[in-house]
Amino acid sequence: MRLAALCCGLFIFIASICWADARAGEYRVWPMLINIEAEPGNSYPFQFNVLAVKSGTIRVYLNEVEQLATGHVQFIPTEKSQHLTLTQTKASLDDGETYIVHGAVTVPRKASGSRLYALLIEDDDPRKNTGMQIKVRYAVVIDVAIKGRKSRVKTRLSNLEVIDGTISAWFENLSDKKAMLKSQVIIRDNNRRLVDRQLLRTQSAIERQEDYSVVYPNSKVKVLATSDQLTGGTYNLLIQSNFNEKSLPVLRSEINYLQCTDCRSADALGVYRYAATQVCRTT
Amino acid sequence: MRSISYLMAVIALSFTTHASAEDLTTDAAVMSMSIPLYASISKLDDFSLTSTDSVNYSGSDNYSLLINGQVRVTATYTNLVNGSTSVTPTVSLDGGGTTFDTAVDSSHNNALHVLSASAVIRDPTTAGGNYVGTITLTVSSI
Repeated sequence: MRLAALCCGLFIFIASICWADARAGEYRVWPMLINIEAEPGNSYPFQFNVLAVKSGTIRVYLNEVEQLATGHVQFIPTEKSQHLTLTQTKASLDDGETYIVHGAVTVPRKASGSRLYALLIEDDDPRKNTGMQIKVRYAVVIDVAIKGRKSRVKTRLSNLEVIDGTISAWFENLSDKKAMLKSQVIIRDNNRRLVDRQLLRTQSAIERQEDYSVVYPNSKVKVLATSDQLTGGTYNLLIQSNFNEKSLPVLRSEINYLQCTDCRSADALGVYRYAATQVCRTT
Repeated sequence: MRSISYLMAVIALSFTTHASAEDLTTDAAVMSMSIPLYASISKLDDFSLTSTDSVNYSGSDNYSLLINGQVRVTATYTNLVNGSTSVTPTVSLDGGGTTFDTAVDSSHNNALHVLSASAVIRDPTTAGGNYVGTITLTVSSI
């Protein structure tokens, strides 16, 4: 009888270990975005919630947000920030338990523009299975807009290209402020007749079906548009842009849109059907 | 006596004014509520890549996504490693790329999605054994 109880206990112990190993904690996180309107020299507390749908141990860590050319962002783990503090970075949660993560952002006295932080929450479970191990993490983004000092918005639009009906250009936000870029390309033929008009957006904005592209401070993104109205010939392209609710200088370009047998870039790569050579000028 | 009469008249007038004000005006309070954006991924487990021809390996797992607004899910991954040998997998979300965005202004009540991975072993001398890799799914609002 005693042996049976011992065996039963041992089985439950082993089963619980196997179960814990196979299933990681599952969580619900909110809010995923925290907007803070801040003034230089002040500190702003914030909090967010993590609910354990399935019990586990969470780890919270700070990341820098870096914008890619496609407009997507990537999170890069960073050491402790001088300006963002968290009260606790680890917690064990039971089923149904909600943990509140507390932190604070301090805005330096001479700061201006905007700051973006990402706090990543993930299960702190060192599993060692074979095959593909899955890790799920949630990014709580802290978007700090700093009031007071007026930040000068400086941008650059360059490298207009037209290849196989895809019009692209590079847009740089050289300022410390996040803003929305709304841009369109107007295409006219040699006789100044309107051929096409398309929105120029980042890949990220296209995927999100947004008319505008968000461009983060000191980031460089590629904006794209496609037109099926272009055949070989000369075209005038005009790019009108609006950034941070202000009009930017118009970029004008005359392109010779050529079949690729005549085109140097196509000769080098041998993949394009059409490409353009152009002279750009800003007005 | 006259002053008392005046006082009574003023009080009576103020009552009348008050009563008529209540009768004639309506007041409104603006009610507001802010529901924060939340996200949860569940039912996603580790999986193995298997093959029937020893060349094409594949595996997948379904997961459930619960959100109340637009989020972006991004998959990043490492190679499958076995000692000094590594194999580069291909990872996709819902059979597409490594990123997907949920629709604008819509919630997603435990909608099922699929995470899949595949690897092609072109070199038949690739070392046998257990290979381990990691796929990280990141859910974010931006």
